[in-house]
Amino acid sequence: MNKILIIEDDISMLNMYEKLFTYEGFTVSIAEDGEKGTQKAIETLPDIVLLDIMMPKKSGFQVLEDLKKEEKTKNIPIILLTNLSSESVISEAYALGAAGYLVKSQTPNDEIVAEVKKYLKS
Amino acid sequence: MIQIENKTKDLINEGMFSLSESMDLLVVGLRRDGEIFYINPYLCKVTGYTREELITKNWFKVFVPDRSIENVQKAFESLFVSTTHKDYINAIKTKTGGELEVDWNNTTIIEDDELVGTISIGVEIVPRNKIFNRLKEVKQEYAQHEKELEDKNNFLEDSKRAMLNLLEDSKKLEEELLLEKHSVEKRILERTKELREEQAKLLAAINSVPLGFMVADPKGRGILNNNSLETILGKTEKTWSVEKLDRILKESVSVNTSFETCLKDKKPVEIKEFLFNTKYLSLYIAPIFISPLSDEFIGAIILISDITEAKAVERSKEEFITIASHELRTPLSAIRGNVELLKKYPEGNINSNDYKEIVTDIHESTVRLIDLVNDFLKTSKLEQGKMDFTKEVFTIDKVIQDTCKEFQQQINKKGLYLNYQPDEVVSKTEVLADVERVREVLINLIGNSLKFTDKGGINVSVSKEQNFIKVSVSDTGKGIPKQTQSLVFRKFQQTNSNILIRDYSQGSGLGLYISKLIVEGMGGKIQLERSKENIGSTFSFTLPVCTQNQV
Repeated sequence: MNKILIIEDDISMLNMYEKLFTYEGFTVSIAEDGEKGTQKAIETLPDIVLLDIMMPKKSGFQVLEDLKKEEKTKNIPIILLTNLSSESVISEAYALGAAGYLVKSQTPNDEIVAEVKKYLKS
Repeated sequence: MIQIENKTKDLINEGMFSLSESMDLLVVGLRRDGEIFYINPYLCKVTGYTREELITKNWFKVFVPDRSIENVQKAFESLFVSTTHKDYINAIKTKTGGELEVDWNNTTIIEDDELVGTISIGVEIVPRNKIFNRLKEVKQEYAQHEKELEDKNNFLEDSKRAMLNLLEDSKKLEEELLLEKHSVEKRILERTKELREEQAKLLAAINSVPLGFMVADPKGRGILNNNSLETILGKTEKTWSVEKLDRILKESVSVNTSFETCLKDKKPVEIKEFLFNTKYLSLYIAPIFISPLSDEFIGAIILISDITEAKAVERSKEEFITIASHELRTPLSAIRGNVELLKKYPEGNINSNDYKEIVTDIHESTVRLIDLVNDFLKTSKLEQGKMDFTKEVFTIDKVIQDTCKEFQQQINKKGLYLNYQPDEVVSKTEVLADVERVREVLINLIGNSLKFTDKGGINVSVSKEQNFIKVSVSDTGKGIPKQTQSLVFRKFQQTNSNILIRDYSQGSGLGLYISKLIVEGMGGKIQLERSKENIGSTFSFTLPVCTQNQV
């Protein structure tokens, strides 16, 4: 079973993603802020990470940077899943090593799942 | 001939003879044939002969040059023809072969009525000429000397004149210098006055700008500073220096290092943004050069500006769209995602716990979205001044007590306390405001405290301050970091300075902003009294007291 880590501070969203990927057959772990997310990623070494940007304690960008620096996690694909959609934020995400970038309000559940699976195959 | 007695003649002859012997004239006596019978010592002397050599010798043979013998003999003969004596000039030879030109005065000698010879007295012409020539020479020499003297005199005269002119000139110069000195002194006085005025103007200008301004010499000693510097730094000093600035700002920036870098690189140094207590400041240090072409510097200008306001405006503009859209999209995305779950995985596939949670999340997100939309609408109404405030007369006690009651359940749930300490004076004082809006502000303040407090609790207190009632809400919560204390009443301002780091609170970021607009709309003031991280915060707002004529 594929392991997915979802780092998201909005509890309604987190609940929803947790259910979605559980139903899709993933082993889901969750974290509700950037600090816990980084820690969990290093501890559980998931196959893929879904990462929000605006979060308490540590922003998604900092998490991304830290995980790309860390030897154990640097090859894990990280997809940013956020409601920020400005060009500058998107290009910074890719510059920091994000595998993909999804805007929550523009992406139905099916597309999120498809995107995640795409990175798992490759 | 004059008849003279013989005795007298003898006397004369004797006298003449003696005279002839001693005088410096040539005297010679010749017989008729030219034989010399007398010759005086002077003639011997000038011709170089002795008397013995000449007596009885023929005059013409000895003395007369050959070329003139004939003429002289004729002239001599003629003396005897005419009885009157005659003068003539002829040359005579000296023993050494020289010649003398002599002017002769001749007289004949009569013996026994017979002309027997002559006595001649001669005067040398040559020496006279010589004297004349010498005189001429002397005269010339004298003339020469005279000329030289005159030249020298002229030179001296010229020198004297030059000296006088020089003296005159130097006197004039001195006068001019004195005049110039006076004029320069006058100009300096005028210029000094002008400079003082300029300086006063400059100082007034410098004092009127909201920038903290200081001029330091190369050693960092303050030469000039304005009041804004002290206002911004909240400190008054008699004299300022880079050292003092460094001490005051040492927890934020190293002014010393920046100053040294500026002097070393001869370039301005700028620290665009740093936090000092609750303010955002910027520091700019620029070297002052003597002239634009010289790199010799005489000090530096230090500018400290308070950019808190500018930063807040910039942030709120920049972040408004980002945050507004983010805040609206999040609950919408939650609703949409959960509804999609319900659609894709029908009831049978979802366990009842999940189902309950999905419905709850949809509900919560909907409520949040409604709150958010309401806050946006309220904000825009307040901003445009379209909010209507009712004016009611009431005492604040009841409103506070009612609000506290509403929160009691949530307070108990978190294990906190919520105390209200009424005040006797305030309890009897009526305020003039919109009760519902006051309640809204109270809910916002107490709600914020509740959100950020995990242990301890909340105290609400009141006091009367002049014509206002002041309501304070204190908590023992996590407090507000210094860097955002000045920003809390801004739109979408949450307590973290990094826009990408947000609170769990799920707030709209508009609560305090709306409270501020409401309180100000009712004629009061809202402020953050104090806050310390992990100790707690105190917010307060005031409401105007109702006066008799308002009723």
